[in-house]
Amino acid sequence: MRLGVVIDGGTIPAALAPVLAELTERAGLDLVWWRSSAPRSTLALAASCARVDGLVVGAEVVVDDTHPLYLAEERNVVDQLLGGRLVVGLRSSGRRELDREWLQVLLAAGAPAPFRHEGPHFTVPAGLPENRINPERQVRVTPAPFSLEPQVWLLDAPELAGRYGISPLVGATTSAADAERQWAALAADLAERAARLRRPGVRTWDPATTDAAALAIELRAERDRWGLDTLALDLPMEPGSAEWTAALAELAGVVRPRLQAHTLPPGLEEFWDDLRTTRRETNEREVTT
Amino acid sequence: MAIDVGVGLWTFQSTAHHPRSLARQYRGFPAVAQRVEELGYADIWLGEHRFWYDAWCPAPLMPIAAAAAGTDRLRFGTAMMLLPQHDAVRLAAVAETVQGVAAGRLELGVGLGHRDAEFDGLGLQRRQRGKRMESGLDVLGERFLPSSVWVGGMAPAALRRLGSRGMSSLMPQTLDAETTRRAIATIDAAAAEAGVPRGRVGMLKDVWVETGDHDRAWFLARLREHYLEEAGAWWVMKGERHGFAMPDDLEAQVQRVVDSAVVGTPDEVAAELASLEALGVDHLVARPCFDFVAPEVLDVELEVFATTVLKEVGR
Repeated sequence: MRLGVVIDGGTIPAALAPVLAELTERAGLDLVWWRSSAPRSTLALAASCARVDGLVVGAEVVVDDTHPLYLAEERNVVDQLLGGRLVVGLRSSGRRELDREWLQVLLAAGAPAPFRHEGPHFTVPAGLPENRINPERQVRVTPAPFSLEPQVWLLDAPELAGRYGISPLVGATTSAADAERQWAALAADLAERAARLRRPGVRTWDPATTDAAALAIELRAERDRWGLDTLALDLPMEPGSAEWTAALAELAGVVRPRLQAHTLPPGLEEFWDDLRTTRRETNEREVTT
Repeated sequence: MAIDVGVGLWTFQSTAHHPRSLARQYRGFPAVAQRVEELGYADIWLGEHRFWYDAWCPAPLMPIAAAAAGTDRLRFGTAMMLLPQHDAVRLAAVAETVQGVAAGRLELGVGLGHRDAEFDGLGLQRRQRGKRMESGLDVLGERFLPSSVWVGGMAPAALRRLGSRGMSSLMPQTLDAETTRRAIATIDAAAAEAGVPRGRVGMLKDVWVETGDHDRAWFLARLREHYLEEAGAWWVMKGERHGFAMPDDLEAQVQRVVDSAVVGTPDEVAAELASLEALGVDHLVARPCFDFVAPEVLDVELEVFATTVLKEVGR
């Protein structure tokens, strides 16, 4: 399972974004997910992490009334900057047709070929009679993304996920039982095509109330129940604080190794725990002396 | 003589005559920006166009966000973002995020844009661009320091528009001394009338210091080809058609641009650039970065310029 953290893109100083990404990578995690917090641009925050080249970078974007080509262009450029490591999380506007159009344009613009789009909100190109010098019947969004199949995940849009065969991102407030039901319905819709999809989710974790090993047990159950394979954890502490960094270390050292193989030989987890305790005590002694 | 000297324009193109890996250009850009900072330039500038075969970057604020993290002092400019092609509120939000990432080192240059197909792709009429520019500047003026917004364009209305807002001007490379003086006087008058301090006055100049085999003849021949393609395919001549459809006008226009380039030995280039300060220009965006300049050639050029001309004329 890939494991990472959610960071609210609207509450941190923007200049800290690459620093937090670097801390996440240095901890040994796989993913940083920039939660949308208007009016900040999560794509710009994702771009700022370009030099941290060992992470998958997620950017949540809320569908709105602006032209989806702006997002498509930014997505393609940022995916180039990140070498294909960008995932865009498209959050529903609550208007089904608008969501659908944004997705259609984003998918079309991800291909290295010209396209035409006609929908209830947008016509691309518009073909306005006033624009008469060298009119074009299709547009080519450039550059193409670096990735052959740029990743888009959907938030709160289950109907679109089934219709287009796109991964839904299971939200933090969706229970394991509901996630299992959603994925069962989607898998029934998609049949064998469902095998191509990642099964991502967001979960909250407060180390003060749930031990890391206990968290691993919960997540393992979700993995086995509905296929959770890519996870971003929403932590309550301030990103970049000592507590946050310590939580990342727990995720990388305690949770992550417990989620990779289906079963572990008896005694291995106890060995890890004993070694970890011994190291912690040694470190504390060294600090004291 | 002492003016701020930046360098441009990074456009991330791969043209028919000079194909280059887009992935290498994008992923290598943070290292390029670091190098430009180490060489002592004040800023680095990026262009914007869209829907074109050579993949000209349509979202220059994104490479800026990527490169800002690895630099401390270097400022980042856009020359130009095509403001009328954007939703100004959305663009301002993106630019504010990048301004945050860059810790205040963003210089937001905006221009009109001129290609019908770019406007049409986005569902906009090109002829509305002046009006959209006006309202877009109002939005940016509320969100950014006026002097950090650089406005292109030479029409008196455009100069008054930026002058009355206290915004900075980024003038095109083809202006002669007299036109430059008149333009600055128009900006001054508009600023005085509005009771605001005048912004900065910048100028973009195609510049080449001769290095080895890459001499005057080498540069000017390729510069000419570069502008023949750009003007031939894009620039609207007499409001009618593109350059390739009007070869005489195209020839005259390209010759004018090529003649305006500053090319020569370090001393020659420094002397010519020094004359800009006397005209009232306080910021130069030197442009040696074109599709026809290979990365390794550009690196040498940036270093030679920095160790000679920049030392003479840079602040």
